[in-house]
Amino acid sequence: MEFADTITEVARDGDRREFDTLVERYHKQAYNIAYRMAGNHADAEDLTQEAFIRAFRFFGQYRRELPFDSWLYKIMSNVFIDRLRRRPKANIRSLDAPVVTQEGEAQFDVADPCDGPEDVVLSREMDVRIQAALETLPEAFRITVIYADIEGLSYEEIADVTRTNIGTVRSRLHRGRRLLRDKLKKYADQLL
Amino acid sequence: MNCRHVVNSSSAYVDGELAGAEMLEIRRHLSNCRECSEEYEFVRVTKRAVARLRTVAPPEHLAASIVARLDEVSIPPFQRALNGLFRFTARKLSPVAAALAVSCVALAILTAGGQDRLLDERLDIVASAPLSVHVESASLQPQIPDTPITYSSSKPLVVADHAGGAFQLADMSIH
Repeated sequence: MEFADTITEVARDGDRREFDTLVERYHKQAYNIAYRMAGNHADAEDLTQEAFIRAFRFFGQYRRELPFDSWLYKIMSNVFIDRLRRRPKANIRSLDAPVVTQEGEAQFDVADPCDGPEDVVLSREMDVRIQAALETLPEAFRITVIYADIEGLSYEEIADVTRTNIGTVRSRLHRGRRLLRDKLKKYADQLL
Repeated sequence: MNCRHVVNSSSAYVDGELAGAEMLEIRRHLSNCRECSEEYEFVRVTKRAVARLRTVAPPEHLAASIVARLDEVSIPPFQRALNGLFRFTARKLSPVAAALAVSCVALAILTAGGQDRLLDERLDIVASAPLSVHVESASLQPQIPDTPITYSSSKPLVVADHAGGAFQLADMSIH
């Protein structure tokens, strides 16, 4: 019995060390996706934390031959949908509003150090508009667009992550982009 | 190939998710159809705009917060056993066989334990519900048996009547 306990303990410690490394490696890209889904820092942080914690609970069932980020996104999509069901109205805040945390204010990464000041301002304005447009999409469309266009996942990968089929992914993406197009049409010249 | 088909396929075309022959057909259509070409162009621009959204950096404490919260996570023994079994079978068997093995064990555990409790609860609920049926025709009055009723298998038969008068089948059978 003691031997079995020791084996279990060693396996758990090994899992924990491996998982800590994965948290360190993937938390930034997970947070970025969570932010684009949720639209604000507070919810993005909660969503990221919850996705990692849920992943840790089921880490023993994670198949190492598959990419960890795809597995995490699958969990994150479920957490996001669960949360929306519990709280139908999203809490939407401006992208420009600084968020005060215990460690200070959370800031954006600079998009491109080569951009001039005018480009950065323009980019930030469009960033806000595109994010606002994303938030108007039904959540299934929004998630699909984010995985396709921000993460660059293939239709097959999105179908796996969102537990649906390729035909549905194709339809959601098409309808999502058409809705986005309608919202952003007046800024067409700035999108080019 | 008509315009409707091309418009509906414009996203998949932009993403390179169509088969070669269809890609070529759409490309040919786009070069001759101004309306479809404009639609395609805006889909392409929209995709590019979303792709160019800046990467949002997390608060600096995020990774540490997650790791700290992991210390508080307690994995139930049942889940730990499943995780261990999955890990073991994944090493020894193919992924499909491993998933099947774990599913079978989980099902067996559920059937032996939690499922029984669930079934007992449902039996109590249905057994304590009044037996009545809302019917229009007198000739269809329910037959109430004189002998005692016992519930055993899971076939739907008993009709429980609630305030709305709707029929509701319970997972029961009467012997």
